[in-house]
Amino acid sequence: MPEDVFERYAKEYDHWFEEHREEYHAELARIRRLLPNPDSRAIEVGAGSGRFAAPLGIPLGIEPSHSLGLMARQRGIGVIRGRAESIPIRDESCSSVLMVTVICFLDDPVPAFCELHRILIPDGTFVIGFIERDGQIARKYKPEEGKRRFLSCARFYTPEEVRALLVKTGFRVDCTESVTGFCVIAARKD
Amino acid sequence: MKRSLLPILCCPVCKGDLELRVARENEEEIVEGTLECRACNVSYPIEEGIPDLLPREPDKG
Repeated sequence: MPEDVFERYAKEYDHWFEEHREEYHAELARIRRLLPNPDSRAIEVGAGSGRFAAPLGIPLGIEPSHSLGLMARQRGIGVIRGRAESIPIRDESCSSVLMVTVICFLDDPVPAFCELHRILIPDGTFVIGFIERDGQIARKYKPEEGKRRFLSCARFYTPEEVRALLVKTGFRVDCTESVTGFCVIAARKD
Repeated sequence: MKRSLLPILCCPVCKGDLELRVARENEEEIVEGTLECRACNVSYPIEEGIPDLLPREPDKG
């Protein structure tokens, strides 16, 4: 994961959500439909500056960047500095897990998905949002300088590839919503 | 980091228990301190209220 980029350009990363309010709120609304009532045991992995966890009412986030973590704390989120591939949370501690635009920065999603499976309670919900490979958003941001800084080393996936990874790591897929190249999938721990 | 978080925290590597040492705490949370994994011989810092549980090499000495 390009952690240095997020550490160095934390303010620029966070500012993107102000500059693209319409798109941000559309993504937020779509995630909220699939994760309507996160409770006190919900967590976001790769919480960034808290732009999703805070409005969704998710109380806790895992985030590798200290700078982004401080911003998330200012939005009222409890933050643990950590990696998706080695989560410092005990087995079956979380009722739901959210992960937004993180899979594209993972070297290998399988160890991360295995960790999410481990920390979820039986039948717990995993909601993942991601930019689809060759989709409208991936094409749109290729030439845009601000987003390109963060996405230049990203590896994008198709919804079919992500569903296959979920099944491989012990989830069953409940729902897939793909609109304008941003996909949201809701799955459950099998 | 709120004390209520402690029961669900574990070492990111061995998933074992962490021992809390508090250096500074206010009414709401632990601001500075460490979380130690004896099994791995690693001390994870708590800085500005954020426990840093990124995997790391064992402490020397």
